[in-house]
Amino acid sequence: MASKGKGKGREVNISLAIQRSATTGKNRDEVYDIDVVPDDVWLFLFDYLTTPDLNSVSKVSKKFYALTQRPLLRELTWAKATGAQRNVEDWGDGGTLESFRGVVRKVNVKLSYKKVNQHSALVLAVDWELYDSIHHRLLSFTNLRSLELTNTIITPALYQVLEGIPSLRELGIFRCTFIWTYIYFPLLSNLGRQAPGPGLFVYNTNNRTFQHQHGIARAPSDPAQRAAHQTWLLDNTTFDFASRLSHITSLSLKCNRYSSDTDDLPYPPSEISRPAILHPLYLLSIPSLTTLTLTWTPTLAQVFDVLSKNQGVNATMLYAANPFNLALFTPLLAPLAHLRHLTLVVDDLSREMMESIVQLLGHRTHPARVHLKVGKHTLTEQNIGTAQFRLGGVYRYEGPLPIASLLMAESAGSMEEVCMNEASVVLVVLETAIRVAAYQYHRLNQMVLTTTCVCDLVDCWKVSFWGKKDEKSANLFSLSNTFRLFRTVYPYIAREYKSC
Amino acid sequence: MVLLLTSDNEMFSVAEDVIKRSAYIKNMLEDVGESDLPIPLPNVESNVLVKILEYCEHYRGEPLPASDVDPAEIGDRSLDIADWDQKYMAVDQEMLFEIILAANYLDIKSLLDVGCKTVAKMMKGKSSEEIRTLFNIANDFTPEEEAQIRKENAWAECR
Repeated sequence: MASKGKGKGREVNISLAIQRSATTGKNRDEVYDIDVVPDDVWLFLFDYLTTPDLNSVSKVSKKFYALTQRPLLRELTWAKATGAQRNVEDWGDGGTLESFRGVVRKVNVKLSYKKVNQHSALVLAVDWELYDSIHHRLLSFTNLRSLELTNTIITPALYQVLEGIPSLRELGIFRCTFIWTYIYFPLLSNLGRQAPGPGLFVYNTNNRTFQHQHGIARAPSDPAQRAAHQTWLLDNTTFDFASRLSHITSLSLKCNRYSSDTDDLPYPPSEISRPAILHPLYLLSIPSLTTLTLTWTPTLAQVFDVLSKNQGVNATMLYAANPFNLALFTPLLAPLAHLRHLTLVVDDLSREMMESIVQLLGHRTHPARVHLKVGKHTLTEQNIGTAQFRLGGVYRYEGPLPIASLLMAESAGSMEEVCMNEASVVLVVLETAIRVAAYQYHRLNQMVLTTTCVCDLVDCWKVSFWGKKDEKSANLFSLSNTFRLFRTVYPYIAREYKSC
Repeated sequence: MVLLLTSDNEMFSVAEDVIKRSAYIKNMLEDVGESDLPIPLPNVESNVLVKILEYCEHYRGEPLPASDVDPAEIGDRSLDIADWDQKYMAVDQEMLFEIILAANYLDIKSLLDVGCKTVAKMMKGKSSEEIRTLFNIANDFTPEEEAQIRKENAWAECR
């Protein structure tokens, strides 16, 4: 190729520190025609834009519209039933987007699945047909990495969908409602599973689900039918999370409801308010998890307690009672052996909650790095004096300060940042803060004081420091050298100190 | 030294370790071997090549980036640009695109990245109309087509 160059032009040897004006060549008055930029450069460039930006770009011109279609498809959000329905059809076999299925990396599902008519009146509490088509479609995205479910419905059918997407690494479930149901018929067929044979369930045409005929405790007398039912029951009520979802490495379970308080669902609340086999908490038994975000509530703690016990479980409570005496219940084991990072959010910390958290995470040989957020606590002063919170690996704690001192039993070595959230008890806390800070958190390199009344707090600091004239300089210096205090507080203290 | 011949027939003599940042030329040198003949760059004008060489010279000695890019990484790219790169990219729009095109042609991945980030930053947060003004693009949609796209892309907006 090089030989083709017939060097007719003048030869210019230039040094490498080139300083030349870059104005030779074209006529400056001409407007630069970006049409010369090839499509693949635009596509490369669009990789840097977010979905809303790409959306604007798509409306610029026909060329940009055509070009943005692929990048726009990297992340999908299905939030409104009609739009999602149409989009799902476009992705279907023969649809306009079919050939782009491999482009999709992330899907956000924010559908309530409520079916309303044109007057916004509720027609169906759960539009199972839409639920079915959404989940069926998810299975066709062969490069999907991340799935986020927000304000939507979770059923055990989800697990098979997750299993069917081997590229999936991240799963987020936020503010969702878990429904335990024998799965709606078309969903079963789409997932390649069989509908229950006659006799075990009755198909309810009103809400299009299967309901127990005479309660589940009756087996058909015909042996063939009986065997078929038995197989079906096993198939639909057991799922080995550990082996079948081991491609997922990141899980977030936040603010989900595991029971329904309303009657707008086709299941009586009593049926779904109890711990169930195939409860989403079983996702914690996925052994490959490295990152976990979890809100821990008293209900979850209770469910976990029931599910993790091997014996003494009330079988009917778990829908595990069956006429075949099959052992459908699997105890929930959450070894979390590969967990590296955990964010744990507890709204109201009680003694029971602490025990439950320790039960969930306490027996690990290699503690993960834990970010703990506590809203408030209900421990008595006596509790605080005697209790211990044996949770290791906490590097960042946000919440009431007394809990921080309880954490010292296990997390003294790992703690890096403490963030207080109690302004009301600041006077009491402050003494503790200084004591804790000075004597316990040897490795603490950041002390963050967040409070709604910074001024009050500064007064308190003054009270504590200025009250003890003889110790103040030593204390303040050790504190200011050791900890970087909250930005607004610290300069104030420093100024006050100098002027004193 | 490597000889480069630009589209406007200017000859450049460049140190090999400088121009090797261009994967296109690096591969060519490996394929062709030592040669006194210049490498023709029919897609690059001399004023652009000067700018490109300024970049290669600045990063002389820095390790060349790995060629394998994990496709899974796409989607979470930041728009951070190093200080020197920002100053380097402070040129008019024509030169900016010429640099991008040359970086694309010469296969200088890091420069293409910086160029695209610079343009992406210019586009970020802008409306369709603002982007048209920015690049002097004519709106070739009919009102009906515009309405149709808005409908199609509704799912991209609700977030």
